[in-house]
Amino acid sequence: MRPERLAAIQPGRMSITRSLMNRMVAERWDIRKERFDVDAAGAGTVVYSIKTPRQEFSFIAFSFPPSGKARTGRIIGRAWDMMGTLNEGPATQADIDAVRSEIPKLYRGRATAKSLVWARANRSMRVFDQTLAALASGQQPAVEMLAQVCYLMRNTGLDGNGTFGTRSFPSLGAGHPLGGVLQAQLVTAYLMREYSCDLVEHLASLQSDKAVRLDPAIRRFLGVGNGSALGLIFFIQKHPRLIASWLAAREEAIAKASALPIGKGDARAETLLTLIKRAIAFRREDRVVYESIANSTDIANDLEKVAAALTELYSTGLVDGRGETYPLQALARHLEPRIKSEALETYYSLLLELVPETADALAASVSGVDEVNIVPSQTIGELIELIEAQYQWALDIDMSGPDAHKYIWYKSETAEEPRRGARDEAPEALDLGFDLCGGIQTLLASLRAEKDRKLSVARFLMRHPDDRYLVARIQALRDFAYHSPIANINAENFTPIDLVRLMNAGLHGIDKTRDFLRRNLRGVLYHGAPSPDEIRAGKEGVWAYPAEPRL
Amino acid sequence: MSVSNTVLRLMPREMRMMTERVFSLTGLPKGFFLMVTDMAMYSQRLGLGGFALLEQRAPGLHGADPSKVTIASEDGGRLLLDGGNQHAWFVIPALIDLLGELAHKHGNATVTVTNVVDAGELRVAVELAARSGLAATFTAGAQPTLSAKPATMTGKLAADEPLHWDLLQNGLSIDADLWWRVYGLATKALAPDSVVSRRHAGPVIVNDDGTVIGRKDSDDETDLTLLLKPRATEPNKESVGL
Repeated sequence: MRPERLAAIQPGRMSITRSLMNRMVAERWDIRKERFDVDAAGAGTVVYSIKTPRQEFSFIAFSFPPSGKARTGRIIGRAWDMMGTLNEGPATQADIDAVRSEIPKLYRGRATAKSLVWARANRSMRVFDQTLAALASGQQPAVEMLAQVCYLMRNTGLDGNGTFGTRSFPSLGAGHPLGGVLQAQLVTAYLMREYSCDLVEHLASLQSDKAVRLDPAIRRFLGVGNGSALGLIFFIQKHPRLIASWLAAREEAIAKASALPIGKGDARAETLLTLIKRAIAFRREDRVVYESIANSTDIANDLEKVAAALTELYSTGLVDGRGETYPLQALARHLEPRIKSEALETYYSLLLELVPETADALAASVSGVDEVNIVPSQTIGELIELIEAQYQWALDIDMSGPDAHKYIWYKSETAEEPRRGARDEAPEALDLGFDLCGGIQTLLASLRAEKDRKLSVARFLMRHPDDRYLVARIQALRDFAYHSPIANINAENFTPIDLVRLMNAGLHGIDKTRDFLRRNLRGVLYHGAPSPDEIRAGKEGVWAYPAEPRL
Repeated sequence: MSVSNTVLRLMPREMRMMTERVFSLTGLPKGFFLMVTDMAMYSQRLGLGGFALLEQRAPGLHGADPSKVTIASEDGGRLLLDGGNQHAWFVIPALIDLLGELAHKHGNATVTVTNVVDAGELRVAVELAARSGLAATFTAGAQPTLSAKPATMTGKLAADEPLHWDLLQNGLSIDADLWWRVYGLATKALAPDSVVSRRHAGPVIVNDDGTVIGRKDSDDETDLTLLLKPRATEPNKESVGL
């Protein structure tokens, strides 16, 4: 659970976008554009229909001419090129009117009872404009230009789960088509992707009679952009069971894949080798610039070592010249000290493709309620033992130095933007960060100061009400292995981007996550994902790690 | 489907968040107020004081000290709890804990509460106790009393915590003016914006002299005036115009 290790986790079959898309294909969801009333300036209304086997949804969006004023990828921005909603049920004119009236108010607006998500997106201006110009002139856009970001528009907000009055996700239930973790938001992101491509084609057609549509290969290559930052640290703090559930499910699936009895000439080794080669090609073609994250060339070089080891396994049945009971596990053990964590995690993520049913079932089982409760009859002696057994790492972190509390986490009055700054630079801010290390150390000292180890937690908390949340959290998570990153988030040496990467790459399944100032990420969702036609046709297969289109 | 401007449908996420923020302004420790964010929402749902009471009591909650809640007397599964003149919402956590401990030990528990502000709000404990696996009842009066015994849990929220489930399903309808006043109150828990504060997030930092720290390929065409003069450029954050 070290942040730098969590940061290395790569998108894979159990990432939410991937597992959701696999289900959309398997169930042949029917996604269609129903209305596209957008003028040449880029103003208008669009509606998409999403029919699943059990339920229909609609995506209602409003397109705006881009404005440079107050434009930013940050949440404090006030210029959006698209605002929309994902609703349950087919779109009616009343639905469209309601969202048209409410969504511009944003924080003061109210979603209808049908609404699952409110969404915002901005064009990637340079790429969008160049693509538009190319299409309008009857040409395809330059792949070299597109591949620098791999999207036309970028998500700037996916608000749901009760925000603005949207439906509470826990109320959807497991039987709901979008009842899984973050699925409502991430299917909306897919619709943003389709909208961005439809919009550029539509605007090109309004500009010129010579206009052409995007080549299907380019259209599939394009995803939708995403920007994420410090807010995801709050998400990890607030949803420890969910994080633990996803990581445990992924570990279990990897363990099952690693235990496969792969021998000489085994088709599964060949499949894995093919996937690794696909990842190598993807990394070799990657044009994204990374700041502190391992660059793709280095990862590709390390993946060549993985490929060589798999080739040996396929050809001889051996791992580094030795026969092994669990060769895929031995291969990882052999490679771990020799390759970057990102390359090793790529191997692990691709292993999941060898156990697709297991991985899909485990991904579908991921859940985690937020509420934590006190177990009042537990004695403080038992609580002390629990803390000493499970939180030694937190006790080992030095919280006495000047850097241990250097930073404060807070939200701004404007747009409630999550921020992290030097404590002395934000004197009026209330600290919203969860100081797990400091809290554990203080709590344990208070517990040890009690003479009666048989004192109940209920009575201890009467004297120490400030420890209530931490005690409940410790008790609630006692049976979970992977709930809390091993880190002091207030310290100088904590790198926020590590945990943002865990969320973006691992959970969300975002590719090409490029970093900025150790705290922001940009990346691409649904990179290479099937088109609505392909989903409708049930076109299965691995779509990740797409090659650059060659026209 | 239209949206009312006079009555708002609020879902638990926002109700909890605003309650948390209001409580955070009272000086209560974070480890405590994070555990009482359901109080106003449950109170509202039960037809008690709800958010109007939250607004009314907020100024007086400064200096609240839940450690003043003490056990006045105890006899087997019966207990007299001195609320220490704290608000009922801040007595309820200890109350539920004690009900749970006594019920675990004796099979059932009865706790009478004295010296508590807004004693009728103790009714909220009946619903919240369900989350802790207790079937509780409340008797109002001069000496408000809660009784509880272990409940049979099904593992299904709708059956185990029907009021919580109802809130997740339907939210609550709240007078718009009241809600926006509570919202405004809660906003005070957020940090005032400033040029320095805006450097605490984002892919680039703009220095006082206009120089930029960070790469410029973030692909968001940031209007840097947002980072240089946040106040002056934000007269109307709530409308982008359609």
